[in-house]
Amino acid sequence: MNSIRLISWLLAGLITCGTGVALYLFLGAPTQQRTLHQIQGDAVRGAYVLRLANCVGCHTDREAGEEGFLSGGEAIATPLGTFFGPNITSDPDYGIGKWDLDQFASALINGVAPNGDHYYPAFPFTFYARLNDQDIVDLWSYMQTVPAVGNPSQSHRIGWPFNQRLLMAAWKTLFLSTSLSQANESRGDAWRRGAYIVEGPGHCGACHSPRGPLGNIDSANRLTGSTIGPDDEATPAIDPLALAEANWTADDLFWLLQIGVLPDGDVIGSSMADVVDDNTGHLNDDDLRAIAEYLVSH
Amino acid sequence: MFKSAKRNPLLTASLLTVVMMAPNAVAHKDHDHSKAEGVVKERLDFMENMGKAMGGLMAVVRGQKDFDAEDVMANLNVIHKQSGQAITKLFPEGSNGAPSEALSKIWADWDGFAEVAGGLRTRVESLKSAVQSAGTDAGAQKAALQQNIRNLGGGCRNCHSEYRKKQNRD
Repeated sequence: MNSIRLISWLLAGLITCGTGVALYLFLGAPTQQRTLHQIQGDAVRGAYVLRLANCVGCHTDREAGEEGFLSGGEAIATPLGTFFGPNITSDPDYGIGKWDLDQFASALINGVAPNGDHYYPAFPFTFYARLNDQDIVDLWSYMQTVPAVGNPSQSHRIGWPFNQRLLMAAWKTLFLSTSLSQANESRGDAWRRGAYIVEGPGHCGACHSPRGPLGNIDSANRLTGSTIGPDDEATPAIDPLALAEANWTADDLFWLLQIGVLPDGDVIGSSMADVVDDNTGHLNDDDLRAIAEYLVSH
Repeated sequence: MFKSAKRNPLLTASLLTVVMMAPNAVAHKDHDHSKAEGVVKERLDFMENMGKAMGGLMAVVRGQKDFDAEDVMANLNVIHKQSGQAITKLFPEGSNGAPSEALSKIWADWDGFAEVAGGLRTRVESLKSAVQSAGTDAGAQKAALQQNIRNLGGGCRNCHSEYRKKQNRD
């Protein structure tokens, strides 16, 4: 009798704990609310933010010419499945033409679509969560000027269980964080600007960090390179230690990011050449210097 | 749990070791010309020569070397001479495979390949004429070089991003 009672209590305890954990996982995802409406947007600055955040890289099919601009990207192969950056032109049916500023912001910083669907972390919302208010509003102003292209977005190809979007709610509870990991008050403006770009919109760590089995960034080892970068190819380590080990200076990085040229005069290829084309090659010198300073000294 | 690494010297030390041993550290050199022969060796040397010319131009742009008009023109002429058909004729069909860094896409998309090889020629020509039309003032010539070197770098990237095997440092 006593043992049956004990087992019942244990079971009840387990169920309670299990429910608690499940509730925590599925309802505990951090959600940011920003008050953005009183901020004046600047579409010209927004065009720059588009480059800073390298939206072009995943949302544009390079083979498709002008029509391809932001109207849906090429396949992104990952161990969890194949993803396609959707059409983010101003097309009301196939793009984001019917969205409003709050929906746009929530997509970026919370990884949630206007219909409540959770995005997969192939979309780097864990980085965009750190976007500042002005950059979001400016980017939104610009997005509304992007010519509409009526090109339907392609469906992702993901196996079970990751094709269950609801699981991403629990994923966010575990892996979505909005804080920069280091106290940075003691650093100068350029360093902090570099930290913002690298750890935020620039999302360098999306390709240059190892990922865990659930596609999460291994934050303790971030920027130490990945064996499964774009197209299943490895990406190099770009943390301060690896850079020092390989004798890379901030000035070397500046020129790599601006032109793609390596210290010995060789010029990079592969996916990083695309990053220079779409992203870093468009940034101003101050931002490139800031990124380089942060990379060698954070 | 990862945050504890910062305070745990043993864990930190082992992480450091892993990082230092990482084969994909950024500037790892992976060209091996010694095993190459024939046309593959010829074009690896050809590309290395181009890299040297680019390196020479960059040293001036980066202020590591004084601007010398003759030296800059010599480097630009190397790239000019080694662009367009000078590139494509070094890629007979099927001449890839280790130690070559050429991707088979070169032959699957020959027109695209020829176009970017020709694009490099156009870019280096416009850089040369920018430097020449800046007159004889070294300051103005150097400024012209600095303004147009990005465009030239784009010419290299266009080819390397599509038709060259990924290098460990890309």
